[in-house]
Amino acid sequence: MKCKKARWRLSAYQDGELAPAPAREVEMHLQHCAACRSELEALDGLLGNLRHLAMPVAAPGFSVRVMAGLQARPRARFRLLPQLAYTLALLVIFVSGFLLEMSANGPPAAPVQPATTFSAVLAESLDLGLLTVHDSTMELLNGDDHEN
Amino acid sequence: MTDKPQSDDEIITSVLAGQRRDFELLIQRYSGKIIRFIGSMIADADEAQSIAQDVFIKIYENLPYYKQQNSFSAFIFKVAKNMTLNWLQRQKKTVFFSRLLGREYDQIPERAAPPRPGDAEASERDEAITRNLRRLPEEQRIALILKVYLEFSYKQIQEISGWSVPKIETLISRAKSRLKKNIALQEKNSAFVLQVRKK
Repeated sequence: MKCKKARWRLSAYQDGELAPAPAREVEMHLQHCAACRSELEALDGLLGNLRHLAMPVAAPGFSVRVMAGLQARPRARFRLLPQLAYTLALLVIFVSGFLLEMSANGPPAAPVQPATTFSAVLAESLDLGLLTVHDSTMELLNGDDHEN
Repeated sequence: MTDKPQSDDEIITSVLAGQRRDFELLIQRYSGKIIRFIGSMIADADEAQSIAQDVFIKIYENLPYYKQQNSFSAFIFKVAKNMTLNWLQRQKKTVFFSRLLGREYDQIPERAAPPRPGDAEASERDEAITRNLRRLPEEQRIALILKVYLEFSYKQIQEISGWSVPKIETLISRAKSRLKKNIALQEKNSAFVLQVRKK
């Protein structure tokens, strides 16, 4: 094993995470490589310092406080109630607004059927003021006989 | 003859069956480790208690979804890891916006635990290590803390983080190298400052 590979595996070797075969290879390398031995010693020193670091601990009564917090909380399904109520209120406002609008304007007018016969088109155009037709022409169209 | 302590899964079954108070057994079993993990990650002992409290509440709410064939320890540490990362993310945003608005943000203390009384040197060393730990990239920090302070195996870290074992090996190796280098550099700088002051 070369130094480069040994250095790369030193950390896992230190952690006791290497499989037996690679661990043996690292050990054999360390037996004849002073530089890698010194690197391992430095890593051991670092680990020692890390392990001596003062660690935070649970404050007294921590579990009692968490349990009290849990008791005070509504059950999961009930916690959705405010959101549900809010959504329902919005829905009611929307539907009421729509119904009010409908009642104010009355029912929608029946769709206008397009005129199909010539006389109907003519009558409609006259109603709208789009055409001016002489009375005699209208009488003729309506089939009235004026030969009296 | 002493009673065999209940397993995590037995406690969870009991809680789900309506014995809510049994959840306290899980809190007592895991609170120390969870607070140690969060405290080392964020270097703020008070905030660590608060995040840990939220972790247990979240765990309680999600107990019905926990699959008992998995490790409960991995489940709870996964939640703790995610909530800690979320907290760190929010912290970064707060610092960013505070600077943007030209306000001086109160940096959180670079200390995972209260200083050791009467041991100034140890306290100073703790501070230097904590400071350097905090400067590690988040993934390296998580892997190193889980290994060194929680004594998890690489396989257990894989269960918590979802990373492959080779990736975990690399993360821990890089974290150690970086820490070693930075601490040595700081010691060198401190020695130089002392030398200059003496002159």
